[in-house]
Amino acid sequence: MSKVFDSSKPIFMQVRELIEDQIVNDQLKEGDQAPSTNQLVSFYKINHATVSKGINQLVEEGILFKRRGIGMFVAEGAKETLMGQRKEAFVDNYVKSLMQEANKLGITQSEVIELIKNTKGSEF
Amino acid sequence: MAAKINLNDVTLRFGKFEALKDISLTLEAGKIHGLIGRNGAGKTTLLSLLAAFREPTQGHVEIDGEAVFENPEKMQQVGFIYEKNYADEYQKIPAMLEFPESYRPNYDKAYADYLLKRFNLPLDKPIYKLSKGMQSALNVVIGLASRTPITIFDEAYIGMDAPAREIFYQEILADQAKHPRTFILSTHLVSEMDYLFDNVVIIDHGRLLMNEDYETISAQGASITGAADQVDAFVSGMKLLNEQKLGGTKSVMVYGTLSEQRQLAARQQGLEIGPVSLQDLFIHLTEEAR
Amino acid sequence: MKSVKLYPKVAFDLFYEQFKWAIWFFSFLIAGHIIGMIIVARNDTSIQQFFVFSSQSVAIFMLVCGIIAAYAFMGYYVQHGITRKDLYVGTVISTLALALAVTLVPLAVNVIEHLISNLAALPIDTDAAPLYDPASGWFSAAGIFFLNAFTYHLIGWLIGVGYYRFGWVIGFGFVGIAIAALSLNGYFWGDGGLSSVIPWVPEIPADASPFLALAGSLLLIAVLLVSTRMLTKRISIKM
Repeated sequence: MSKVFDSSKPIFMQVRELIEDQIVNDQLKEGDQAPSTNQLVSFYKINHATVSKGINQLVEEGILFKRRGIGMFVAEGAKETLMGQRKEAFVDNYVKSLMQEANKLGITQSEVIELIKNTKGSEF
Repeated sequence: MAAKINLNDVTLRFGKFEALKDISLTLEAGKIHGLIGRNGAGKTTLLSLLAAFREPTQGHVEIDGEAVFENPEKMQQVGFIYEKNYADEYQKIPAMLEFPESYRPNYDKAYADYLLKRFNLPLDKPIYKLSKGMQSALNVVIGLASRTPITIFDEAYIGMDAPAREIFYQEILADQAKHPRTFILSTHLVSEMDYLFDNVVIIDHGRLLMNEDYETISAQGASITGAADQVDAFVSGMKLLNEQKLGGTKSVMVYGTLSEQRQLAARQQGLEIGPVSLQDLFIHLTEEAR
Repeated sequence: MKSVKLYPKVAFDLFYEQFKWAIWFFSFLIAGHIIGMIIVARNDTSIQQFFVFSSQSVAIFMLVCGIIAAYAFMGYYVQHGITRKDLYVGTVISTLALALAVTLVPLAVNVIEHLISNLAALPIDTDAAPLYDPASGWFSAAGIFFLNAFTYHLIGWLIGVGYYRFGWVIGFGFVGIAIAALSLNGYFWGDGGLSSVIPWVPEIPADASPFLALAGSLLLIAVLLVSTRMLTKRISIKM
């Protein structure tokens, strides 16, 4: 198994996130051909079944679509959908754990806000 | 072009020694099957039956529903690649390849030439002078370029270095996408090759332990990591494959499927659930059977 | 996939491979004959004509070819998906062709030698040897030569198959069977050989009853063909 993946999450989730990331940061634009299952298997040394599971989820959710005999393509509006999903997940994934940790350490809410403001790269 | 394989109650005895015991299995067409087993488990013996090198003592070996032994049509469809002794092979590679080219109906010469280049094989040296790894790569070229509907690689990588093995795996996947066939890859390099398998067959002591698709097999185990006492409580009653402890943290591999609910429960307790490698499962399963 | 009859192809390939060996073999044999002629010319004697000169060596060559054929081709062909049956039929046809070839080559060389000796004196003994008596007609001499070559190859094949299938110990028994078969073959054709190997067998000259000799020889060939088929029909391939 490639080092790109870790054991914290099911691998197929990580495969789909890998493709999602490429769409979100514009490496893959709408209408572009996504890497094929075989390419992903060969490149990341992940089993076919696992890769297919990740890719199929993206197809089901309308992020990717299949063209028979040609391959997978990024759907129209895929980036927007993904951004929406990720914003929704942002609170769960990041903010909650941030506050849990802050509680453990006894950092108050206002201190957290202050820390965020002072963190490099947070101003935009 | 791919073909389906059927074994019905196959037993093979050498004198009193039972090399294969009552094996029944179906290998679907067009898939990559991994055949794993410990040394002496009977992998090669099983494969030699598929290639009609011998007959089973009992039972039937069939390809697409027809017995393979002495069946001209079926025997032509099976390519069996294994480590050969080339100590007396004074021919050079191009002369060697004329034979499969003339006897294998689907042989693709352009593809063979491409593979020879990829493996960097010298065409002007007698084969006995080539390194073990190069001789193995030559076998691989013959197996791939023959495009037999059933292509068997029995530990075909022997002596090949890591980059060459990598090419071997890449080419299997690439050619499988373009010209699907039934591959059987027998190996003990499980962790290196498991990503290739659509289906996994495990044999031990001449018996079939398992024949499942990769997903089913990999769902047969899980690793659970977290605080030692919590982990212990969670896995109590489950079959443990392995445990490791680091300070208060414990990581345990269990055998058996975890239901969605159990997984959710584990996550809520702050336990991490991860997959178990085929290699670990294989080691466990073959130890247990001992 | 259409199933194609493979034995004609197998026969051709096997013949072609062994004919290449035969070319080497005859090159050495002809060189030997020329050297022989040079030596006997100095001593003012003569040497047998090539057809007779080569008969023993050709027989041994065919025997060795047969042994090697069993070893070299059995595994190789089955590995490439050819059935034992196709290989068997192919081997028999190729052996017939090879036996014909190794009969025709010495005949041709013999003719050339005769043509040369018409121009220049060659130290060739034109007196006929008893076994291949060209005096009784070239056709029958060639026929006997051919049958002999064929039989020797089959016997070699039987030894090879015996060793391949049963290993060294039992394989050695096949050498015994082969010697018996060779002696029997010699016996039919009035070779003194058998009587010198097994003293109690009475010597019957072949020319006394050529028909009996032919019948015996063909029977021997049939037995050899059947035994080899039985031994190879379900043979396991070594890896």
